[in-house]
Amino acid sequence: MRITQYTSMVSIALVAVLVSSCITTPVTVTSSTTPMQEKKIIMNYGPVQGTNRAWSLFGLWMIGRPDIAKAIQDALKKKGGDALINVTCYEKTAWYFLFSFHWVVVEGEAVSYEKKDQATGKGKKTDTTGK
Amino acid sequence: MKQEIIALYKGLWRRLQAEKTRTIAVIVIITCALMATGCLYNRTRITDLSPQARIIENRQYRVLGVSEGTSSCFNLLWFIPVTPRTNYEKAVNDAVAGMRGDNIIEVSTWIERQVWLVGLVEILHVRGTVIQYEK
Repeated sequence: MRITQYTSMVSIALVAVLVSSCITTPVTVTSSTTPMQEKKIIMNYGPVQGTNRAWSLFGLWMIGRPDIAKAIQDALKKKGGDALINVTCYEKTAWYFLFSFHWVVVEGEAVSYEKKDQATGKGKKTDTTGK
Repeated sequence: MKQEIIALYKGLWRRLQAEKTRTIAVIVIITCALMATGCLYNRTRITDLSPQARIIENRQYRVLGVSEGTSSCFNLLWFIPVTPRTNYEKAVNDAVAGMRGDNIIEVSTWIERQVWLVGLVEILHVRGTVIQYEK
């Protein structure tokens, strides 16, 4: 009886390990999240990380989607700044029995740059030449 | 005392069994509902993040707003292509044309893959901020 119980406990533990796992997949590496040509960086806030999550049933039907724009906003919220530079992006997926969770993770350095924008018409007029 | 513990254990086990049956029933209902729609699998995967879609030809530009463009394809019975493949350029053009701009910056790209009973649908999404060069 005791051996049966022990075997079933070990089996349950093994199944639990097998069905709850996680994987990390690289997505991209980019110099910045916005064009930085001739933009003057006035402050570097250092490394930040932002995430956004979605989940799926049985790993088959995803409800919502991991939003990279929201992950960037999440990263910028932590230390402030206008954009991220030296950006690394990757996806993490974790399975827990019936559900799986999908995270998009954005890492980079938050920076503020000099703005010379004036609102005109429909959008902003952006002088990126710095003149 | 021993019998009481055994009775308690049995009661708990019976309740757990009842809960298990209910949980399984809920899962089966949800699965059937999803299968009834014909969708067997639906997943979104982020593929790219870049400062701009094309080279910025003029550094003087106006920001028009956020736009999204798509390009899709369909494979009958999951592997017979009946439409042209997804095209990044087409999705970018779609996003840019939506606001009559010239280029798109702060670009994020993702692919949505849907497996249906009759075939496979792939949708490439490109989202970013549309800009218009100053003339």
